[in-house]
Amino acid sequence: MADPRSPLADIPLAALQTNWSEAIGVTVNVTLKRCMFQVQAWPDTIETVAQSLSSALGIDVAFNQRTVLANDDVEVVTVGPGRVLVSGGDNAAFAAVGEAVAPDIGAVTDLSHARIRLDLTGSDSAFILSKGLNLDFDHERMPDGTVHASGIHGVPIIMVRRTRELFTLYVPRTFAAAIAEWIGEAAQDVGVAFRN
Amino acid sequence: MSSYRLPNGGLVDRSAPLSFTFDGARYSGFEGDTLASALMANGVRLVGRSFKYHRPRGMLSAGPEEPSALVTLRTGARREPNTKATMVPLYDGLVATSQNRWPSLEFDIMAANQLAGPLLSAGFYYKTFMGPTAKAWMAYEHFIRQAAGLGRATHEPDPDRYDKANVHCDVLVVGGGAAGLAAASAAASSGARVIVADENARLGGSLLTEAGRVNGQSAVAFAEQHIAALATEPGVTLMPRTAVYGYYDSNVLGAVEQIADHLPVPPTGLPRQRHWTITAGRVVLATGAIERPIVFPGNDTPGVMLAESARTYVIRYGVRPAARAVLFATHDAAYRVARDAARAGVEMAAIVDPRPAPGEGAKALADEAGIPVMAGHGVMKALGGKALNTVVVAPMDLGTGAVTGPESAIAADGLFVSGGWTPTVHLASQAGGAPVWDGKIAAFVPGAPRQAWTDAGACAGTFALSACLADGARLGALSADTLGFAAKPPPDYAVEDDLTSQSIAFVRKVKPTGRAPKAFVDLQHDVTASDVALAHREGFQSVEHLKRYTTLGMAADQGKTSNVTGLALMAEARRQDISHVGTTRFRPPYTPVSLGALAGFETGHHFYPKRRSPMDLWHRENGGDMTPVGLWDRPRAYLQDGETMTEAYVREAAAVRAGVGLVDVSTLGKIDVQGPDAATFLDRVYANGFAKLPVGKARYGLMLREDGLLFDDGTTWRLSETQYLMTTTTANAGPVMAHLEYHLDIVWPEMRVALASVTDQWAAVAIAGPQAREVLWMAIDDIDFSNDALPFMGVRQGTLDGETVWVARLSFSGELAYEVYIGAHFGLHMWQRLLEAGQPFGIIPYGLEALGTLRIEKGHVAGGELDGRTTADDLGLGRMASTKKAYIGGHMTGRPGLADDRRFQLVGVKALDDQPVRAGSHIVVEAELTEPAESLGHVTAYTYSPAVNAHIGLALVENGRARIGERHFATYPLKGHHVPVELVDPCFFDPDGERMHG
Repeated sequence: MADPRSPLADIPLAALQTNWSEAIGVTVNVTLKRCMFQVQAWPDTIETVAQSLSSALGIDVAFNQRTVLANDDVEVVTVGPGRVLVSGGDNAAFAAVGEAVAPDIGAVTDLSHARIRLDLTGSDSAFILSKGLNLDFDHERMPDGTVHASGIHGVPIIMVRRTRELFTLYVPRTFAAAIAEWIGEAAQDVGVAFRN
Repeated sequence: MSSYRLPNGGLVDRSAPLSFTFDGARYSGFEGDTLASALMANGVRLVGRSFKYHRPRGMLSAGPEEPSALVTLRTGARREPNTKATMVPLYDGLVATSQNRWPSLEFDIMAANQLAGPLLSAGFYYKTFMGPTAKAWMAYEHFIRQAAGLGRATHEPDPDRYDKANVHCDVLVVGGGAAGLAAASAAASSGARVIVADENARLGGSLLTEAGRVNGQSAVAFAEQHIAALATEPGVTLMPRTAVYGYYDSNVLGAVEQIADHLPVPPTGLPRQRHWTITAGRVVLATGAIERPIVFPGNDTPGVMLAESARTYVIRYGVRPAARAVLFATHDAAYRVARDAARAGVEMAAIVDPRPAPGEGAKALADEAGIPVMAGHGVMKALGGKALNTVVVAPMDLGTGAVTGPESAIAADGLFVSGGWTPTVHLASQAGGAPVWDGKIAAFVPGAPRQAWTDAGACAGTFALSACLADGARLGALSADTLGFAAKPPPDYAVEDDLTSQSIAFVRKVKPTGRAPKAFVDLQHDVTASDVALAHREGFQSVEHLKRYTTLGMAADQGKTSNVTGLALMAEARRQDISHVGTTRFRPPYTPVSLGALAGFETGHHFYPKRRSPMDLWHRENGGDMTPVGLWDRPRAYLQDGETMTEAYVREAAAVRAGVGLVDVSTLGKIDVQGPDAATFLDRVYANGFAKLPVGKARYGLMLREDGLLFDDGTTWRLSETQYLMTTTTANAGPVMAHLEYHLDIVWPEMRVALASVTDQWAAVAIAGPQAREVLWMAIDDIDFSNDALPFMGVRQGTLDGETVWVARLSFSGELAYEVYIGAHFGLHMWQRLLEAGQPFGIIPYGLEALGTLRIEKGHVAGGELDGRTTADDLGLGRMASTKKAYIGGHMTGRPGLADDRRFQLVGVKALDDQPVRAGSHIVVEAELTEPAESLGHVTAYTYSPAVNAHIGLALVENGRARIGERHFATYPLKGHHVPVELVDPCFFDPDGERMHG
């Protein structure tokens, strides 16, 4: 059997870490998701697909909000009109969704290898992200659960705010090492640690 | 301590002495000094030489408007030229040097330029260096460039880091003076998020030198209390040392924070500067005003300085700017300078005021201080060379500046000048209408806003402290309210104003009789009043022409002290009011911005994000000579010991033809196309048909632009009735995705099609060569690789060590070949597994060069031929385009320009004398090339072919297919290559395709 390999295994993560002031402003946790896929509904089937996903995943899915919905195992991130990113679960979840979302109501695309999840946590996580994202990180204006599809250094990312100091980035796999290097550089002044 | 440092007073910390050097001499100062104030405290008056005439220059001001006291800071890689000594916070160990002088500041040989003054007037380059030949300028330019400029930048790489960040706020207050602080407090009272940005190291602005009192306390104490209160407000961010330099659309402003410029070396990890992109709901421009000089002969002599700046040196820095001084002012408030200077021990010889009489308050103030007032007089000359020693005064006409009586001389080493105030309208001008002339204050004030800003305090032409505070508080509250907040009523500031000016007399230029030194308008660029007059005489009368002809208002100070007087002189010459002459448009940056700050940390290794194939590290660790391909790095070849690149790729290409090779093609663009209308969609975007492609088959597709030219090519695989996997070229992956999304979203929104980029999902390899099938048999399960079960262009799903793979029998090389796709996390595993399985067959990894060799041998097209100018027919692919369906670009393929028989067509080229043919060579008929010849076309790709045993290439040649068999020359004049070639069929190898179908 083959073992999955993280794209961050190709770069010396330890060398990106800094804590010159003996403080770590941001910690980056890297996750290879077991299963991730995108579901796209047709303009006139959004409600139907939402219902199908809800029954298949056990989450009350709604497409009309840029927020994250989750249960213990799976989360659904709304990333565009009639489009969600489903992550977590296992291949059974993918199969279940594939069954539930027939081609006449939508499309399911496997992205399990296409995105890497980076979780940034720490008192300076918003500050570091503000170096690449022109978003208003004020907690009142960007409350927990907010989703943004944007770009860091020209790389398309999906960002989810989970708490005041915890953010998730879904990063294209081929850019994951570059984004990790970017974070390492951006966080030079506050200290950064990586957990692979 | 020198006699220029006052025994007490000032806002410097006398318990923190600092040591620094200027031109190698060691001096001392205090924490809180600027380099300028410390130099002045040490009696240093001469700090630089002027741009053109190398005239001695001192400090004109105490702030960002400084045109003269430009120095080079630091040494080595951190050397930074043209910094304003007035804005450099002093630090221990600071090293500063003067610039634009040789061999020394005291004795500068280039000062001889002053003797050639008449020759060096505006436009002298263009008038002087015209001949004798048209190319003569090339010779002159070298010497002119050598002589031009001020400081010299280092040639070493900058060792410091620069940072960048974005920040959002409700109200941005630009300027931390009286109006700015009041605005910030009022806005913050509403709960709005407020940022106060000020370019100075210390907030407070004029409050730090203000003699008026607020709420019963000194202005300084009021400022400190106010700042401390703001600092505790949770929604307030105070940003001193942060210059807001640009105002852009959507209320976005650019600012640079100097984080470590006040330190010798930035502490580890800290950037030297941070660029902020500020997005604000509303902006309060409380940028203050700049004191205006007066144009008179010798007004650049060291010792002549702006009056309020002289006062700043006294009150803020505890420095006496002169021993004996004259005040030359056109309004009442400037009399405060004489009063405060006298209190500091400066012997004020006279107040020279061109008005018939000063205001009562001013007169009383002068009388109280015992300073004689010479009303109706002007300063005719300032004399002294390297240090002022004489001020020549005379009665003058206020309206014309002309002398009306006898001159008299006053001995003085200081001349404090105030011609009024110029509101700092730069940001307002960037984001608003043209500045408007206000005759009462003799100044331009901001025009109508085009964005969400208001101007407050001196920026709006309001100069009294009480008015500035009230204005700021009102507009800060209004800004917050406009955004939906509810500001508390601003507090009543109980202000005891110091002397203020009710009106300001405007003196364009003093006109003495007889010989006189030059009278400067723009001290930084050595533009004189005569230059402005010359520009007028020669027809450069528009303010935009005036600026460019004379360079008035250019360079590091952007005309902060020169624009208004320059415009006034032009207005006078044109016999118009200055309001009719107008101003030039201010553009960013308001103050110089380092390139490092603009670049931020995305430099060097971080210049652009690198995309990495799952096998990237393997390539690097196994001899891959990597080359950038878009954002990717790809191996050109895997070099073995001692091999040249050519030897390596020839070895690899030959090995593929003889056995089997493996190449990483993960970089190809991959797009998942799904939906009930996917087939119809593809039929519309490809020139050839896809609707009838069976499931389990792939097809090579041609994609055209709307204008009928080729856009991209690639194979698309039908995975199910409703799902296709489209591949694109590496270079065009992004544009093709955008092209498809545009048509789906805008042109055919009714189609039920979903697009998703899956380039990152799949690791991909191509395995090619006669033994490729045997290797796949060894490594991949669940697929029958026999020719019948998996024919050419067949697509099957299987497993590799339990993981799903897609295999398509495709060939770019012309060999029996397959592309194998696996989930990217297993890409490296697949690569290694296939190499392992291929060992018995001598498998080798091969790179881009061998890939290119194989495709050139087959005449397959790639980026060199798909250059955005070719059609399908040009490349011999015209028959692929469907005549039975409509597709993007189809209607345009028959237009005359694309059906011309003189179009360039794809042919092969074969070298006739065993020489390489450079890609880019032109095809010409001339055997000897001494002059430019007519080009029949150009070589698009070249290789040495081990299969053909010749140097071969592809070329686009005019009516090329009809020329096959002709012999011409491939010429590359830049390298002196001129190679005889034969035009041949583009397919050099296995024209019947027996190998790839076998």
